[in-house]
Amino acid sequence: MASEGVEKLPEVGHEQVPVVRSKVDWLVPVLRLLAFFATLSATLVMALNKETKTIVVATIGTVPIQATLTAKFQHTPAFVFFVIVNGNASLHNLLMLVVNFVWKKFDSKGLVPLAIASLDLMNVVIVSGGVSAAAFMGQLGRDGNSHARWNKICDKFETYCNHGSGAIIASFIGLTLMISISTISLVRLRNTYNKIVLNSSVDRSQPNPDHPTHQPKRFPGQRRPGEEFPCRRRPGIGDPRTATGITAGVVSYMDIDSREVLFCYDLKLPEGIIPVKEDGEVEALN
Amino acid sequence: MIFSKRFAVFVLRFLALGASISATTIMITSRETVEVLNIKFEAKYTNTPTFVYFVLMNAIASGYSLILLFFPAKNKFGHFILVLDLIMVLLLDSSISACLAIGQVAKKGNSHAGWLPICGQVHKFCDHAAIAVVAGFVASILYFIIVLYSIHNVMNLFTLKN
Repeated sequence: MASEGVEKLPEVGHEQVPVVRSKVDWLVPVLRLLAFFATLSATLVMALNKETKTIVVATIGTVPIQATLTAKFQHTPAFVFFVIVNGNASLHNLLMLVVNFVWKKFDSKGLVPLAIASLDLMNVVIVSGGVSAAAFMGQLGRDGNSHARWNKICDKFETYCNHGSGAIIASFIGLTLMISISTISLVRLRNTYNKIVLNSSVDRSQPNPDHPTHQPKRFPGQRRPGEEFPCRRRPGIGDPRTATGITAGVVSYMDIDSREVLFCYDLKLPEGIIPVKEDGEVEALN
Repeated sequence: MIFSKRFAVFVLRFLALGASISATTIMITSRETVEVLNIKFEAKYTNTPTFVYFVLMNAIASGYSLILLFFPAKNKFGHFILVLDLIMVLLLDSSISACLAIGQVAKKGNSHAGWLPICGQVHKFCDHAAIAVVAGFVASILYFIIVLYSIHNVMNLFTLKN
């Protein structure tokens, strides 16, 4: 280093831009678990929805004629669609829950988060269709329609109606959870792609005139890039002689719940100093 | 922004606006009075809350599209617009689903519940409502394409790296 006439700056912090792991890694899996339970319960309650009732239709003499009526979910295509869609959604949630933890081993291209987000989107749309169809059919069954001369059936088959409304409510809750999961995944996807762009190699030997830190007013006490200042704290590289720091820039990014601002500096050492890892602060010297 | 991109998204939103407005108006104007055995049947879209919901959702979607027609894409509200687009797709899709469910009962009846099909008596109303539902379906597909486009605007999907 001293043999050349030019001072070579050891790149101390180059590989060391700390990527803060998101503190809420548990948020999406927990929501997915809840959504899985909600859609699963909706499927099961509606699929097992059945009620049989015997009513007296007419009386001939003293013998009452009885008719047995059953209310099953298969009688209404809207409820069949509801069961199918909720089953699909619960399977999707379960699968995505598993994939959430194991995808890093199988994916080399970064396509898996994108696939998860788009599958989430499709399932949300389909579940909303199923829920609303079942809800309106339930409303028809509960109130009837006087204009079309359709009688309500909920006064005769109360248990059937109550189970059906319970299933629809569970599916609505599952739908809300799935919408929030989808939104969070999409926002996280943006951050992932932005971090990829940020962490690619940047030439920091010259100050970058296009960098936004060249704007005049930022934080109090922040120095302009390229400005040299004496280090007040001893940099932990093993030599008590003074080093000067050169501001390199600022990295700031935002996750869904956290915001980080990192001030990056280069250390300019006087000639003849070979840096040595002293305390645990410096990770690597290359 | 490149002019062709702006033009493409403008055309897409314009088509979606047209589809949802036409769905709304066709459903509103569907009306039929039928006299059977001296009894007057009047079929309007307000008879069932499903069709009212359909009209409402399509009106909301057309208003939203009208406002958004004058926004350039790729501005700083990109995420908010993406979420709103997603909500519009959900609403439209749910309204279509519900109309199809009610329409199936109207056309085929439900023998287990004792509901007779009414399309035989008011078949012009039935056809009119069916056309409105088809327009709503086209609008729903167009809004979904707009959501895909919004996702592409908000994150550059072509920078996939190792």
